[in-house]
Amino acid sequence: MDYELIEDITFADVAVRVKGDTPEEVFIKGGSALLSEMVENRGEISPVVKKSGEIKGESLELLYFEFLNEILFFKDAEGLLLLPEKIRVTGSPGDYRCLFTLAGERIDMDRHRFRVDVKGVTMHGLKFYIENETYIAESVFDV
Amino acid sequence: MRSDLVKKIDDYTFEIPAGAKKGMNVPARIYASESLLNDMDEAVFTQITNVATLPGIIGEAACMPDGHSGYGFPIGGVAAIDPDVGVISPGGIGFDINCGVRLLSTNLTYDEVHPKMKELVDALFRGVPSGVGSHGIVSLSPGKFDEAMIGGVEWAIKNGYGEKSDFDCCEENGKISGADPASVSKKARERGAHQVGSLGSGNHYLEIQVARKGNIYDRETAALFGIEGENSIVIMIHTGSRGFGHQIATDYLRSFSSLQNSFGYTLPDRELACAPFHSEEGQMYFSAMNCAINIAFLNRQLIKHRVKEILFDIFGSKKGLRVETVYDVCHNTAKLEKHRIDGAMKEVLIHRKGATRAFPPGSKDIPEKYRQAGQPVLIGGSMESGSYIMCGTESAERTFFTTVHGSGRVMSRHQAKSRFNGRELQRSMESRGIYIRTASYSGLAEEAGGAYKDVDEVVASAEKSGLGRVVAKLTPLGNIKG
Repeated sequence: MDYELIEDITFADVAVRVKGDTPEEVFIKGGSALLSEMVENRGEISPVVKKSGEIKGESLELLYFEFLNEILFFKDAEGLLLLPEKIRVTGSPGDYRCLFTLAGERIDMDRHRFRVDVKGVTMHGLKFYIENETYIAESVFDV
Repeated sequence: MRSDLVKKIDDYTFEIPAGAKKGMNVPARIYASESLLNDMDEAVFTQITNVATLPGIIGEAACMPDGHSGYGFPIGGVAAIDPDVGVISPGGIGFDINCGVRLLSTNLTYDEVHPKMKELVDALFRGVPSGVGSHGIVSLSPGKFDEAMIGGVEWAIKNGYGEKSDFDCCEENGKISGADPASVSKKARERGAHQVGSLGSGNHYLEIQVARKGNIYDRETAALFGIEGENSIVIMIHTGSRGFGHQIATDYLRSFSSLQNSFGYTLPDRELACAPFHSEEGQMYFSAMNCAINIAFLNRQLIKHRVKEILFDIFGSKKGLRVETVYDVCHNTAKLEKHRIDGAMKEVLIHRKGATRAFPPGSKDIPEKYRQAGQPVLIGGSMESGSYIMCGTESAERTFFTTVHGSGRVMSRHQAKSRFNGRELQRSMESRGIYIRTASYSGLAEEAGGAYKDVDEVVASAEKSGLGRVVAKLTPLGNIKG
């Protein structure tokens, strides 16, 4: 598993920590963690549909919040299960940007085994920081 | 925040004084038995004292007996805010705006339904969309969606999905005022338009229940609420505003978060981001949230309509078959209500997150037919333990007429998945007379009865705290989990 569950933040929801050498790696692992909490057989999602875009955030943690919410939006609005494929994070405090490509496929109730639906990415305990030269993100998903 | 700062006021009331944490404007009070209090995780005490710091909060930050940790507010958190000087906070409402419960009464009995339980549950599982990615009973064009955001249950009735008695038996008549579609983003519309009339997943469910012998504690009030007698069958629907409400919450959480400095707020949790109620931003969120409240009412109405069709398909040969809405309650809202503050009636903004309004006898805001008894309060327990009907009482004035909404979790979702197996749980429940269909076995394990508090103790604590009166307990027979 490319992420850790943080047990002492909330009973009702799911708190997740991911680590990476770069912000891009953290975004990719965070997006994968979000899908893993929803889909048991996340590894069987085929990358047949792609969605690209750009999001902005004043800080890396807000950019991360926006990014995860993009994945939730496509799940509900277009019925797509999308995993991060390419991520590029640029900018500086006050004006960060993320160019993303997500890849996946339409929800198929016969093939995809679901755990729970994530309703939203909260700002409770939201963190994006560096420790020992490793980027770390923590977030709570409302389920 | 340490739980050793909690002071006992009486057997069912505990207080953390306003001076216990910097910035608290009022004390935090937790209504629970000592054993329920001891089972609450530490984060509950941190979160309810954070609520006490909100600008404009009046009286107390209250936590109900089913309280457990969430984000921003704890689940079971209640705050009354003076709208003239105070704020509105999406974190005090939650992502699932107007998540709530509707109870349907029938004149079917256990003996009539039990032989057909599997047929009924299977038909409901096929007929009521549930699970991740499920599309709703209706798919709304942009114009119709705008109408529905304003009309709620009234829109359903006008379009052939209900009857006037449904309108009469919902909080706010299933149509809260102040909903303005102009305050709703394009993203929220796109996220919600195809999900109206679907259960969703997580703790949402549709349950067939029975009022067993010995579980009707107030026969007169139970009869008034449509429970004709022992072995009466009822149906409970628990769901909310689906992706539409989730996106509205996300949109305004983002917006409010970026404005905290300009508003001059320094709150202990970013999830409590808020705006002055009378600011342009505060009013925009209030209007959008009211749209989501109405879509959630509509969601439960469409499911009720589908359930009624299925019951008539299976039991239509019963002469005079009756399927009626008893009541529809909201769990996650902020509403303007009139309450007595320092001896005078004043309009206040009541945030309830995982908590139920419980108006007392005589309230003009409850249906006339229930006015003598008090508002029906519908408490959804876990799928194994049972649910309750209570009614509102005058003694709940101290919590701004608010009470419990369910059992409340006692372990995290991850802990529950480690301890319970969904397929084994399904088999075990069936051997105990509860037939269950689910879109997710992993999700089923997370919702095991053992992951929740003892609902009997939660409800007893609510009653002993004066937060309502018990009318009947309902036992699960069949369940659809999203």
